[in-house]
Amino acid sequence: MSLFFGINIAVKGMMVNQTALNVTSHNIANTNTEGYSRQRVNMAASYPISGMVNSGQLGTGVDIAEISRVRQEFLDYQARKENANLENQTAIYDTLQLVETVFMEPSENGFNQQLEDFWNAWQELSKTPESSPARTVLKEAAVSLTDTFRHMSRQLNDIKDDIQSQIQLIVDQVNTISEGIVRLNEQIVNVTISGENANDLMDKRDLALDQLAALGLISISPSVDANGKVTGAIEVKLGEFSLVDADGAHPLTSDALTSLEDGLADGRLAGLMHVGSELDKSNVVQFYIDKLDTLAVGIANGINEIHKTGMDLYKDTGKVFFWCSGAADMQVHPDIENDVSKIAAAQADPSLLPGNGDVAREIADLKDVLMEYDSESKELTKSDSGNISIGMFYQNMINELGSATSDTERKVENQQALVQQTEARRESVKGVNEDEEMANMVLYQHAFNASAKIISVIDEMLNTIIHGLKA
Amino acid sequence: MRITNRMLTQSVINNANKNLQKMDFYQKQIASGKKINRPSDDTIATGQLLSAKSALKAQEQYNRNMEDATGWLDTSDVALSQANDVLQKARDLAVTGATGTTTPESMAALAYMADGLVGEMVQIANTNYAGRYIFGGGKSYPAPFAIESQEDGKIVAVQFGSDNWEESSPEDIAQKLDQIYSHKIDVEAGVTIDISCGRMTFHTDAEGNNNKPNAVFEKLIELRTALDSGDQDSVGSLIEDFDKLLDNVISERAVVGAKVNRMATALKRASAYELNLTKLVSKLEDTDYGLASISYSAQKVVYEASLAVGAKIIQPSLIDFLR
Repeated sequence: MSLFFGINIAVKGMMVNQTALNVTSHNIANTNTEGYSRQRVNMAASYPISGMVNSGQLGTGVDIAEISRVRQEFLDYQARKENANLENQTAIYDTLQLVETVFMEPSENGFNQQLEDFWNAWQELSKTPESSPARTVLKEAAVSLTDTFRHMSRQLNDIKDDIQSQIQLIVDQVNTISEGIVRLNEQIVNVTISGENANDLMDKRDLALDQLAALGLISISPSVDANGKVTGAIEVKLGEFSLVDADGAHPLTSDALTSLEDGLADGRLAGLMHVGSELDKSNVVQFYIDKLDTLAVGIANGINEIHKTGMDLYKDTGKVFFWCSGAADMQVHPDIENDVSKIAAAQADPSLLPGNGDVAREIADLKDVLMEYDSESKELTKSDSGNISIGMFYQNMINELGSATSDTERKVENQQALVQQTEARRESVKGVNEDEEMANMVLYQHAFNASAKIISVIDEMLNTIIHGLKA
Repeated sequence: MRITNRMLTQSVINNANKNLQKMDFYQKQIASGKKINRPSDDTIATGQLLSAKSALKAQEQYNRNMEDATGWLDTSDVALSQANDVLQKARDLAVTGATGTTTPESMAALAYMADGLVGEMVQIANTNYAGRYIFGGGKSYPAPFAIESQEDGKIVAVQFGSDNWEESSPEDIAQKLDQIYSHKIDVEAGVTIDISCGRMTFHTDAEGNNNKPNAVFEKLIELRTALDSGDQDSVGSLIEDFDKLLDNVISERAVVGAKVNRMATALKRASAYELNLTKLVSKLEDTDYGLASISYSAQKVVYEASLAVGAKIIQPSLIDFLR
């Protein structure tokens, strides 16, 4: 056995530990890289040789068995699932907060106060029906009420439109990410075929999957070749829709998304589709648009009905006060807006003009009249079996909005804590700890130094043989 | 659990953020002066607040209505007491005129005075409150009672309203008068008060018929005519009629007085109610500055501590100790 054999072992030791130091360096460099999982060098003793010494096999040094990444797929699954739920709730919460802003309650300028001002203006008119100022005050209160209705309705519809464009943006994002996953799949397959671990590429792919899962909860399965062997590629499904499979990426379309609606378990997309839908639920924008319409039509019809029985200062009767088919188009009748004398405050008896304000008083009293809400036709009408006043109807809606928002807020907070926990567990496994890397560095450095030392010892031995042994 | 550097950083950021959010919560309360800035801040309180504020606004309006009603009734009462004086004077004239010792010249002078009383009565009947005539249905124009006089200024008749009363049946007249003398004002949710008066004083005759649009004036003119003619017997027969008319005024004043009292009591109750509502609204929505600023300071301490600890916890690592 030659002395050079020992040098070979030492060289291998130096090379392997140098590689390990490189990996350590790679880990430290990527401490703050998103999605990075720490890598480990698994060393194994080289294949021993037999028959060199009588007492057994002789070791031949060290080899790198593999460079692997430290990661648990189950934790990925958990983190993605919880994060998807958080994104879902957050999308709902963000939207509800916007809806709250539309109503501006409780404030001095909110709709609630405007409605009261409007009723009070009728009261004042009932006391001084012939007074032009009282009529003008009423007209102004009515105009500002209708302005508010139209404004709120437009804002709510804007929110709804905005949700649709957000959904479109997310669909584009999903498609971009899918294409990225397909490219990474190809690269990973190539690396895997040659028997190596595509650690950094897989990290990238996992990060892409994290992003995808936040948009819509996906299911992931490893792809297999014709022989049933795992290729390293993965297949991704959003609900029943296959985004990535062996054939490549399949772009998600709006149509495909519509058919998916129920299949979308979680994720930002699911949340947005929920709040943007036509469902009759308290955390859907359409719900508030409908309620506002109900309220506008309820007020307009209730007042018109009474106003028609009244008589204006020109002795005309049977005229409406509001034009309204919904909150979006509610307005004071243009004739009244141009001429307040056309407000019919008096009973339909010309001899009682202009001092009679009975009809104005009857309209003012509508404030406390109990109405019935028909959830089928979404109409608010005067009824003997009624149980809700116009003001209460609005207040109930605000209450519903408040509860829906604070419920969602609580859910978001809880879910945030959960996401932080699962994220921490995942990070705990895959994250880089600098202290640990420093310790490893010291370890590998010493091993490297020691190997080097052995070479220098062998060098001395060779020196002894070559120069020391003189005939 | 294995702790990594990213985890430490992340948890410092999360906690600092959480503390910052709480500080923002109190800061908003202090800056806006309101505990509730959106419905989700406190759903139950928002519900109470909205209905309390509505009730408060409505109550303010009812209070205004009651104050207006009281003003109206007070003015009416003054006018009715003046009407009472006029009728009393008319009765005195009748008594004087019926006395045997009264000379024809004095009778003419009494007739002249009676004519003045008719004019005075018309003025009273056309009393207005804030631009509206309080008798005759509360019109703002034209005046409900109009004088028809001869060229020498002698009043021939006083007409109420523009309706053609002669052509209507007594029932229709009574109904029409009822309709005209109706001025209802809401004083509470579902409670109205009719503040119109004068129906009895001006439109009910000595026989108690309540369908005579010009009853009082006809009687005054009758007195004037009787004095003019010097017919002491017919003058004397009017004394009793004026007693009846005076009774009418007194009963009507009693009704007005009762309504004024009712308004005064209701206003007292209403202002107590309003005060309670105001207190409730304030309790529900106004920031408790003491509590909010103490909480804010406490939160600030926590926030600063979390920053200080965070800064320290991230700094040291094994690197610091490797040579």
